[in-house]
Amino acid sequence: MPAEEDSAPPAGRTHSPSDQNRKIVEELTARLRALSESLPSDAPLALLYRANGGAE
Amino acid sequence: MTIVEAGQALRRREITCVELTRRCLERIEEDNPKLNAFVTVTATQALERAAALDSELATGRDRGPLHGIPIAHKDLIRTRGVRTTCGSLLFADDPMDVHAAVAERLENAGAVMVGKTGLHELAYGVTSTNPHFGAVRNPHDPRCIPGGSSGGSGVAVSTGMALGATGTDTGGSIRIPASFCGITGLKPTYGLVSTYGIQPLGLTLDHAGPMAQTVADVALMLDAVAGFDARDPASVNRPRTSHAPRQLDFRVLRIGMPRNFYFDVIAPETQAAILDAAQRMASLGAKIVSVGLPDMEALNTVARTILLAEATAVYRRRMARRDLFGDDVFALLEQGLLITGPDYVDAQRLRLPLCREFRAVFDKVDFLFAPATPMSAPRIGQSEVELGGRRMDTRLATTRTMRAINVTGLPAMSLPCPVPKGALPIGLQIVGKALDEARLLSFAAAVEDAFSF
Repeated sequence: MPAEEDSAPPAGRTHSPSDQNRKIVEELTARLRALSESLPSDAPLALLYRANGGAE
Repeated sequence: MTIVEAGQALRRREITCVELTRRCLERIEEDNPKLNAFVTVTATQALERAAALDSELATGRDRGPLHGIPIAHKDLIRTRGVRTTCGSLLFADDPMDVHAAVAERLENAGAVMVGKTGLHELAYGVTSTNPHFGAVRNPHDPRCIPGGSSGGSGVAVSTGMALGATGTDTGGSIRIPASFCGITGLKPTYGLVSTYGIQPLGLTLDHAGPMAQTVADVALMLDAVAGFDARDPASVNRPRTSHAPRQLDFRVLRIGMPRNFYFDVIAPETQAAILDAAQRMASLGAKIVSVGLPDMEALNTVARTILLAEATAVYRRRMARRDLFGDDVFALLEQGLLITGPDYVDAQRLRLPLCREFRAVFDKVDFLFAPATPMSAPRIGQSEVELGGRRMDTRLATTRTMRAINVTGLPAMSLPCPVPKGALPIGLQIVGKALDEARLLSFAAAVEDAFSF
């Protein structure tokens, strides 16, 4: 399948890109979850971020 | 020729809008085959418009400092009647009926669009090595990348193919090509410049801003594009002000030099250039203050999580057509599918306290000095760089000094440091307070002056 050929891992790498992508995201979210430990459960969300921190 | 110089020459009747435009078009004809800065060149429309603007000047209608100035738009800024590819195969049938706010405002200010500049596919990367439109090349060494994602805009300004250009910056995409191409680029405060009509990438991280040869030129372009736009939900509603650089009293200025993070992973010549910049400003009377920054790695983690999720939200409905995407962009989109909803929300919730901590630095200093990029431009195809004995992924190394500032929404610019003849450009990043562009640009103009001695 062309799609599989397109996503073939570069020479010398043993994981398929999906595994590689999964590993990258696991590492990233592990760091994020460690940071989130300090968030109080009622921490606000300011999604529409206006200048200089939006909602503040 | 800078925008300021061109404006003076126009008003002294030493040159016409048509001649200015023709000069840029000739430069494009000469350099674009080698550097691939433009996806689309709008020569005929540009010359027609320049002629109309000459007629306006002849009859006493002067639209201001951008009247008759040839500029280029990054090719994800939609322009009515001219295709917008976003550096992708996804937009072949784009209806061409939208005119982005920045395109509209620059047009109203009298600018002449000479074309649309090449970019990293979907603006999702830093090399501008585009699988569909070819690699954009660095004018200082065509074997090197110009940076991205606004690489074509950086090259166009650096070579005089346009006197100014627009860019967008989600994780450094204005400041990186400014740094690698040796020009000046400003990522304004989030919300100061409308992103209406611009293809999104990181929905809460995207900024649009000007790129030009000098700080004064960037200020003129910012004057034209800044201002409230109800079509952009993040647009800041405040009175329009002039950003023209003015004299500052250096004796009361405090420049923050970060103690942590920015100089941990850096090429020696880049570090030397930034320290030299600080010394030059100190010799003019500015106070250099060593400052500790909050957890920058945390800000970068938040930035990456938010961007992966938001970019995939924009494109996931198109991901079934794997053949329409380049490998690097598809990998990032695939990574975005793996970010969970709670992780995204927590990244956004972490944003507020982290930004508060970062902004507190500006209680102690007026501006921060930092490297724009930790090194000068890598070679095309170079997937890793070596910095301080560490091998790093080129994309992560290049964006390391950038991403956090997009999370904070603070204004930041890159301007070229003095480098030895033949050396690749090095960019100084100056970060300022929110909505304090007038002072940031005044200060940057003074730094630019100090560099010229």
